[in-house]
Amino acid sequence: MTAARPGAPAGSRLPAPVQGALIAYAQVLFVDHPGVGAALLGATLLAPRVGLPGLAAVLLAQALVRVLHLSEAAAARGRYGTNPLLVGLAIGAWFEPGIGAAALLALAVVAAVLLEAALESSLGAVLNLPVFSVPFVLVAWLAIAAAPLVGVLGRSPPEGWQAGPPWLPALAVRLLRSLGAVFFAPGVAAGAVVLAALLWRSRIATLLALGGFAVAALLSRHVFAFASDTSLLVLDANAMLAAVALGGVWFVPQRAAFAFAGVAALLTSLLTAGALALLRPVGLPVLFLPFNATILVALQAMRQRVRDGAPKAVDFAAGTPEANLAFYRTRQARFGPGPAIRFAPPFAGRWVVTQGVDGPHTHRGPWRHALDFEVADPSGATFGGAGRELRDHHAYRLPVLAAAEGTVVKVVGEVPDNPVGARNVREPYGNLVLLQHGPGLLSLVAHLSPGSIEVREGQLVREGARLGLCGNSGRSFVPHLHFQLQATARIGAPTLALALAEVVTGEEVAPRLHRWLVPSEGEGVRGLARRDELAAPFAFPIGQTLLFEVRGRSGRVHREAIVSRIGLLGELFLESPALGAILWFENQGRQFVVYDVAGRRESVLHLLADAAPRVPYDLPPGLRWDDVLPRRRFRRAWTRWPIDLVEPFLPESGLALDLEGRRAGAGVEVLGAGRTRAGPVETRALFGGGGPLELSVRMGRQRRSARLLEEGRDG
Amino acid sequence: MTGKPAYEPPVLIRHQTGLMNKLGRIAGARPLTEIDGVSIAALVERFGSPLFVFSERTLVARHRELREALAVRLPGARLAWSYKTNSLDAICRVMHREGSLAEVVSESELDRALRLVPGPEVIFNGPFKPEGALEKAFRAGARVHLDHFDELARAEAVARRLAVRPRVAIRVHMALPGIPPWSRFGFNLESGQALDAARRIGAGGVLQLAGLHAHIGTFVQELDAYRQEARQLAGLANVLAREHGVLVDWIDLGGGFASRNALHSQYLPGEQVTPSFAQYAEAIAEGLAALDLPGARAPTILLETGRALVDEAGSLVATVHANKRLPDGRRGVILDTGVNSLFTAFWYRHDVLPAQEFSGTPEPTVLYGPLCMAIDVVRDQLLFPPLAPGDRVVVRNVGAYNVTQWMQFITDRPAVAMISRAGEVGLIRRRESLDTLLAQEEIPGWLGAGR
Repeated sequence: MTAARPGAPAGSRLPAPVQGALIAYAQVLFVDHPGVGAALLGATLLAPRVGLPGLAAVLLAQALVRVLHLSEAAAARGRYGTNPLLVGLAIGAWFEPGIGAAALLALAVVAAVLLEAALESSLGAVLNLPVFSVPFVLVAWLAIAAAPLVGVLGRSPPEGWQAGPPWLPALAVRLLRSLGAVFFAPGVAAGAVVLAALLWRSRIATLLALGGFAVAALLSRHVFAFASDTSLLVLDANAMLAAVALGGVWFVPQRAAFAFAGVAALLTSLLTAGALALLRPVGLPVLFLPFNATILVALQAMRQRVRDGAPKAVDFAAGTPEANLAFYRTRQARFGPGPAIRFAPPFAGRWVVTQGVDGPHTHRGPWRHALDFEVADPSGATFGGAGRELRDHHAYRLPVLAAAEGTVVKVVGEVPDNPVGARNVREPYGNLVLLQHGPGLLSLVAHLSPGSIEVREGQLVREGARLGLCGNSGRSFVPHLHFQLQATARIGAPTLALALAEVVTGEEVAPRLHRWLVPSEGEGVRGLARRDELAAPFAFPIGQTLLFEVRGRSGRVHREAIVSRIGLLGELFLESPALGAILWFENQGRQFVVYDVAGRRESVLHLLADAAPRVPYDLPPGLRWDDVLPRRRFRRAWTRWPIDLVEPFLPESGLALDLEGRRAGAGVEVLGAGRTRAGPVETRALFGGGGPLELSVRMGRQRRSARLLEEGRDG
Repeated sequence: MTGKPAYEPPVLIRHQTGLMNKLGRIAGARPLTEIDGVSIAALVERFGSPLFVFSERTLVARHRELREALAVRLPGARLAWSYKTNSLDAICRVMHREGSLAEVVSESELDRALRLVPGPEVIFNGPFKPEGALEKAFRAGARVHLDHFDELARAEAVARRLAVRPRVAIRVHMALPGIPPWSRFGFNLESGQALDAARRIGAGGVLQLAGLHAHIGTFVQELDAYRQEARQLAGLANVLAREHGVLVDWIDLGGGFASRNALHSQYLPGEQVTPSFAQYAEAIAEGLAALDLPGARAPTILLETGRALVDEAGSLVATVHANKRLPDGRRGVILDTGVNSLFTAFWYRHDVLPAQEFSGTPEPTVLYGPLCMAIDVVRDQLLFPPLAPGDRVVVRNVGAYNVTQWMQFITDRPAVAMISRAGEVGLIRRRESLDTLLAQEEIPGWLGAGR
């Protein structure tokens, strides 16, 4: 049941074993928050004979991790904790305390840790699946089978403590007891604490749990006929966990994921009924077997889909369902639905589209996704003089560049240039270079000038590398550049949908930077240029520390240090160790981009993400661009929870921010404006030599701001 | 001017109205009554005559034309605004807004530029950089282009004293086809002096060699000269990389592109002879194809084009003061401004147009300035329609070098106005007055004050 965001600091200053132990509790509900863990620990301690063995098991596991030299960092994020915890809780619930039970518990914890490590390295490494509570189920069965042999006595739950107050409806009592049952404390009070903890951390997860419960309750009333109370609790617990896991944690909680969660709850219920029938003769409990089986199968099966969407799998560092939804929607809005590879314009400077996608001449049928480009002078003409000579055309023999890094897979270089007005239909693409950028993703530039191609087949080229010169070979009346994406290396293959990333249009009057664009006919586009002097404030050299004075929403002022770091996979991030906040960014290309921010809301990193989500290192006068911020960040605190409940069913959730940048001395000033229901949002960020100098976000009368105090190096 | 007209002896004038010759219509046969839609009469009424008028629209258009011509061929190429060409603050601001760096050649220009752009965006050229200027440049992080060995040693001393490691370039000169040698600036390439300077910088260990610079001349219309210059500098960059492991960050090809003016010696008008920005850029790109720095990030290409960017944006409006008949029969016209404001009249056959509708027969005319000096001739020979005192003329393409080289000789300097792209008109430099001059003067005690 691991759902931690990899690389994210847990954001607490607890000692690692304590933090790991608490997160072990929280992870039963797919949460990685120590506070939630503490609440759940409290819930289990409401039944001390269950809670204490559970706690003992978790602490023993933390010790074992150290003895066995398993990863302490992973253990601090809850790994090797949840399964021992469940083992401890179960043994406490099932057996009379005593030396025998204690020995059994110790052995079972050892087995659970080993099994988790073993499964992690097989299931985890080979299938890239989480192990969930599979180790617990297997170890618990062994413990039950072995108990009589070691003379441990079973016991039945004490009478009465699980009964609810008389005013509570029976169904609510059942819900709360089922939630408690997840922690082997099937009492109303324990269940209430679990529900509160879940609600605190995630409204969407709570909604999903209730949905799972509803499915189970309906089935148990109309379809199944379970005799025992325990069977009902097991049914409910499995259905709820499956609904939460599939509806919000492993898939982005939108309509389709909710439907999927409902189906998962149904399947889990069916499996529970079946497992009860199958396992009763051998005397084994069902435990979390249905839940584990359902979601492992569902996850692996859904990966076989041709298209990942509706429900959309969480293919990023997962957080709470709310965070998953906000991140996915914002990513969708900010980086587009297209392939992960970004294609820059295949030329330098400004060219004009002379035939767009679905163009009237040749961009039709299977070849509809293509762009033709020429160069226009300020008057809009693509040629000077009479235009009868190739040389008269501005585009002729201008460099053609690689749109993205790739391998040259095909080169045709000796088709002669046609005279203006003539064409060659035998070799319609003329001279061309075909680059492979990834499996099933190739880009083609065509109609190049003969003898101009500078690359060889098999050569690796970087983005922006010169491929050749624009010409008039193939089916080309006037010199122009043809650009398309295709899935195979066959010349004449059908084209794939394409978009150019980070292009500037409207240079003459109102320059605008587009995060991605499919330019239309007549539109002039250029890629972002690279201005080193503008990139300097965004260098964030690794190890750099920046100390800010931050003024919060309420006017409270705190000092906060952030440090620039690089992760194992080369990801760059800024970290606020004191507040446990983290901001992932990219600054290597032609712009500074914030990918995501997590952690405490009062951190300066949230201000940075809001005020400067994206800053190009190329600011022609009047350049504007837009970006999208998760709207949730700008909601009033008291509206957040109710809105979370309906958010998955609303069409969009992004706050569109209109941004404008300008030079300010040696630095850059970025001003943003947006609008929420609560009023206008205004942002301002000033960057200078050392990084962000001033940041502010104003929403209505609320204003948050930060000021750089000093800059240094991490010791 | 009432009463009996003054007697003027008769002259014979050959009629040449509207004639075409093989080079087109006779120049001066059309009036220019407005600039960017703003009436010249209104401009003069507001700011007085003579008056320099700059068109922001033309300035931006030329800048963009050159920038685009470079951008499609040399990704990342930058322009550096040559302050000596026109250092008016308003002009510099437009250039910087359009993305130009600053190119300065004196401490005064350096001070001027550092008010407008950050130090690393200033290029410090020129053969005269005293210690104080070097110190200022290094402190600001400007790019100093070294001109000679004495300067190199001085720069090292200053850098050592400031405990900085500034990024510098060496200025290089070379023999180029079709243009006169321009060997005054920098280190000679052919003799190996340039490479010596590079080695010397490396051996000194105080400065960082980060760039190469050459400036091949002024008003250069030979494309091949630029092609060769680029090729030679690329070759030098290759040698530095291969033999010394020095990868330069920038290659500065200097300025010198011709504007569309015509030199006195030039037979055809500038529009027909001067290559286009696209042709210049093409020649440079062809030369730079010789760069061979595998794996390294390509150096930034810099150009210091001044004249060709600003010349066309500037016009000088003058008023006819008087007509006179010269002994050789030509008409002499005395304007209210001459070479004191229009220094370029010494080099160019300026295009001068009447600023109002006219009638009458164009006749050979000499345009004189107001100075009591024989040299004060704006045009010594052109066909021009008759003008009455108070009529106005416009001298076109005067944006470069005039408002920096103008003189306070005999008269004061005129005002300068700018027309924005939106058609607004603003004063960018006030007309000088006697107070402007006297403000600089002192009277020593023994001459006594007052009276």
